[in-house]
Amino acid sequence: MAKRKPAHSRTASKSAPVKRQAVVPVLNTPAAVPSNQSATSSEHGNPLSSDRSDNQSAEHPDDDSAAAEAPQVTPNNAGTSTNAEGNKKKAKTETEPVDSTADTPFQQFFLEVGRAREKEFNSATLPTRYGTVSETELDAMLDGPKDSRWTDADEAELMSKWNASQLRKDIEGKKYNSVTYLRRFWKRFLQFMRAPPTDILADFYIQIDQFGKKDAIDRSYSPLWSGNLCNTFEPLLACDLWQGNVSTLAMVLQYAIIVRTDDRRQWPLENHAGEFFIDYLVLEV
Amino acid sequence: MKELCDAVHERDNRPSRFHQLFMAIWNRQKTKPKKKILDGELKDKPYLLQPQDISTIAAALDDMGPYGMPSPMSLSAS
Repeated sequence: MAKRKPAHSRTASKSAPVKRQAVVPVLNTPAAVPSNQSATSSEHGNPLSSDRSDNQSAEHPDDDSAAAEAPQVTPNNAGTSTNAEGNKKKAKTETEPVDSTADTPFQQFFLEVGRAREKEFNSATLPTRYGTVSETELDAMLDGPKDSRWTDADEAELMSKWNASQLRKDIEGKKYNSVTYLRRFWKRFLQFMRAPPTDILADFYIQIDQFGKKDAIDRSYSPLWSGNLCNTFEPLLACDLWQGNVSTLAMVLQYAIIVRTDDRRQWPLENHAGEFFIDYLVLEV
Repeated sequence: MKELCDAVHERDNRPSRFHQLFMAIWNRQKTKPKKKILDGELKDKPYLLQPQDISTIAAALDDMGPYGMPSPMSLSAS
């Protein structure tokens, strides 16, 4: 019986046929990885950063691997893939990120399997939850409720009021176009909540008190939210606690206002989060 | 409100992230001066949202630990 070679020499010799490499794409030893290449953040604690990389790849499926992972090709690896230059797919497979913490090829293999499963899961769920909002989807979000009682005359009256309003001039004017933070905030809100930010105001009895000073128009009801408000609000949108549900976010906003103002009025609370704690709270409030 | 949340939590002893969040918001807001708004007062008045409320929620999520507040990296990916 032939003596079994150590892991280093097995991978270093690389006389294995191409077929085997396709099954186990990366079999790099720690020694073969340059010291400045640390493991990707997905293996080290922060699951959100792994979301980031997968989210990026989901959004830009064409530019994910080649540019970012090309520096991780080791000379060892490059030398053994005989037909890698002719086959782009195989080259992509061989340039998968290498985990320097994997001590053995077996550990490396299981890490690869785990990573592939995670990628498969994210590619199935992330685009549908937080994908870019399409134009038709946006139209559906911004469309008013369809009601048979709403006549053409009502629509015409509303439009004439809207056309004459100062708010329209502000929104369509130069001022609005120069406000990049507002545009970014709206995009993020639509993407994460699948609803316009104004839904918080309209449906959940919330009014924005953002300036506390008089302006040319009544900014409280205006969609021209202040930079301070938008910039503070924006990071909150990505929190998974809301589950992409504007009702849940509105509930927490209401609670923060209630606690700040010591509001003892009856709180019209509904459980949109499907959380047992809210269920009990609804019974008590 | 705090007593209510505690009572609810006591009844059902499972941990809830919403309970944690509500408690964290309570702890953040409780030091601020208040004037009670009683039932009947300000009837039909909406809830007035100020930027400080959003900051409080963000800080409360931070208080909850690593899985409360999302990483800024996850947002920049979008």
